[in-house]
Amino acid sequence: MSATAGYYITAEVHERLINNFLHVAFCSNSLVFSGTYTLPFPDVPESLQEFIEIDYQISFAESPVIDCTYDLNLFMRARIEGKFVLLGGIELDFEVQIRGEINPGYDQDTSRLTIGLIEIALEDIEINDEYHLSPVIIERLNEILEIIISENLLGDYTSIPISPVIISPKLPEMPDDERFRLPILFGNFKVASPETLVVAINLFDNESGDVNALTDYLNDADLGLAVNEAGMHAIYDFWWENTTWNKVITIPNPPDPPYRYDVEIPDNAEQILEILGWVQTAIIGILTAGIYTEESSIDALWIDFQMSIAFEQFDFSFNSDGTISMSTEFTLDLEAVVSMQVTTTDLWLFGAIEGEPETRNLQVFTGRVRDLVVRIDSASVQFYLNEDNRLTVDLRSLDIDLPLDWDMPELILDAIVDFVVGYAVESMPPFVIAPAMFEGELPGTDMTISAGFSSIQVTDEDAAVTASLITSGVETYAAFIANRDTGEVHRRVCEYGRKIKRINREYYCRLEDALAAGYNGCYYCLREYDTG
Amino acid sequence: MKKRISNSRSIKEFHHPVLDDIKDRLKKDPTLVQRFKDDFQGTIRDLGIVYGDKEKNKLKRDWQKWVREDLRNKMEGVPKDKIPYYSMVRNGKPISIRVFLTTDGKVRKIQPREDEI
Repeated sequence: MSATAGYYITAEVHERLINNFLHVAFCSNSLVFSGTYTLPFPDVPESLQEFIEIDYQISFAESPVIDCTYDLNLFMRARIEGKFVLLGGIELDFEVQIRGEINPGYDQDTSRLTIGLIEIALEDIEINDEYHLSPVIIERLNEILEIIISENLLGDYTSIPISPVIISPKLPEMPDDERFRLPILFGNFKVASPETLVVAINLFDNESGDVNALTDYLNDADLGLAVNEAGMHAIYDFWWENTTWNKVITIPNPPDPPYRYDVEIPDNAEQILEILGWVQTAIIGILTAGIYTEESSIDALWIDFQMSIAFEQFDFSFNSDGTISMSTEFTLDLEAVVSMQVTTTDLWLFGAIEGEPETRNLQVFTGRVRDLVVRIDSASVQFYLNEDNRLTVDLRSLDIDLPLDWDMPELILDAIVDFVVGYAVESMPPFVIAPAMFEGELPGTDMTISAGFSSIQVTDEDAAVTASLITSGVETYAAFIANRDTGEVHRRVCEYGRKIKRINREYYCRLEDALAAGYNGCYYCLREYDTG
Repeated sequence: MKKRISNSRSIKEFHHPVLDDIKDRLKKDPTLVQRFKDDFQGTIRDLGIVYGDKEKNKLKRDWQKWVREDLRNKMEGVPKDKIPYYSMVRNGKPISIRVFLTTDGKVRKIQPREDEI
């Protein structure tokens, strides 16, 4: 079963997650709409203009609820309340129960998922008529109400934004410019199960894919993201071409002196040490005055490195067993100067006279290569969800071919390999193949969100990751906190509100509910509602 | 850790006409030790030994070459799995390194197999 069905990317969202964030949106007071409706009467004199204008304010009376139905449709249920001001001052309160078929959407400016109503049914309308208006007027008001709600809730600008940012267009280490964000567009969507909404994402003008073949891979997690091989290539190519990541590393940074790498002299490498000793003797130069070095003590051994590595882009492809083959190469400039500190005892005249021990530093090898192509092959990788909530791969093992022809002792070659390979592997550019599943902040709130990894599923064509989102109490999120002990109500962000003992807390999404329950506004954060 | 190395064997096994000539003369006439000590170059000249810069340089090159060959011969006797990278270089192959990355991102090399060397 394919998680992407030919699309570059698909995202799956559990209805529970959407409803949680609709609750946050509701409690953040971001679902309030207001305006003026002008009755469609022609040629109304200027003096009567105010009588054909109806001011209105509508908001949700409770959190709207999204429902993926068993017949695989997507609906929203909501109770809306509001107020009309008509005929120059008459105020009418109303409540409306609605049920609407919805479409998910994507706001490119905010990178947020949106819910847009495509059809709406007013199930129950209730107007609080304290003025005893005639049934004809009430009937007309109902019609106007229907138009207002329809126009507001079905209009583009009132599509409901869902927090957090899901499928972030930001890639790491990229220039801070809109052009370098992933050009994400939402494509088809499907209710894949009675709990799961799956959305196909169009990227780089690619719109291929079969929406009917999309399946539910969420397995009751909150959020899922799947990327196919072609999508990974497209994203990785885009990232590699534009990233600010430094693809060339130089050690040390000029003009710093060469990097000194101390080599531990092991106990069990007599033959290697022999080499060093003999070569050192050769370097000292015997016989210029009949001298040779009888005995040497190696006090320290080190290599001074200067190195530059220019990385190339990874090649990768999916295998039929769900693994990925990866390879790359880098170009190496390397200079290694091997030095020792030795204490020598020289014998004069070929052993006839013993000199005083003398300590000195000796350069015993110098090697230089330029533009050496180092091949990395047979890399094995593991998919995982990184700390940026991004599907990525972790290199687990790789083969490196270092075509170095330096005839040096094993000890020195081993140290050179350690240095070059260590830096090369640790400095490799990241492998950016997917957008982040979500961003960690909830716009308009002080809440943060993190992912609890659920599953990774890799096939021969795509990789899908699912996660459960962990938030600081999204289900009970409330914009206001009342103190049962003091009788005051605070904004959530008020420092006095934060100090309230948990046992004394009462949460309210709407301030009017807290005031109606008898709480008094905080002097500092809700002074206009502080009655002393 | 300090390692002490003796060159006794190598200096004894290395042969060169000038060196052998001086060694022979020292054996036959121990008084030459003091004369060499007092005036090495003068004694060389007095003994009729031709030992100018040209000879010195040749002796040095021969010594280095001998040391290198001696080393390589010695390394031939070392099991290849003890000196895999050196063996690859000597065999004209690139140094092949198998690397594993630990979960904390550290690089761990794997010893090459005998057939990879």
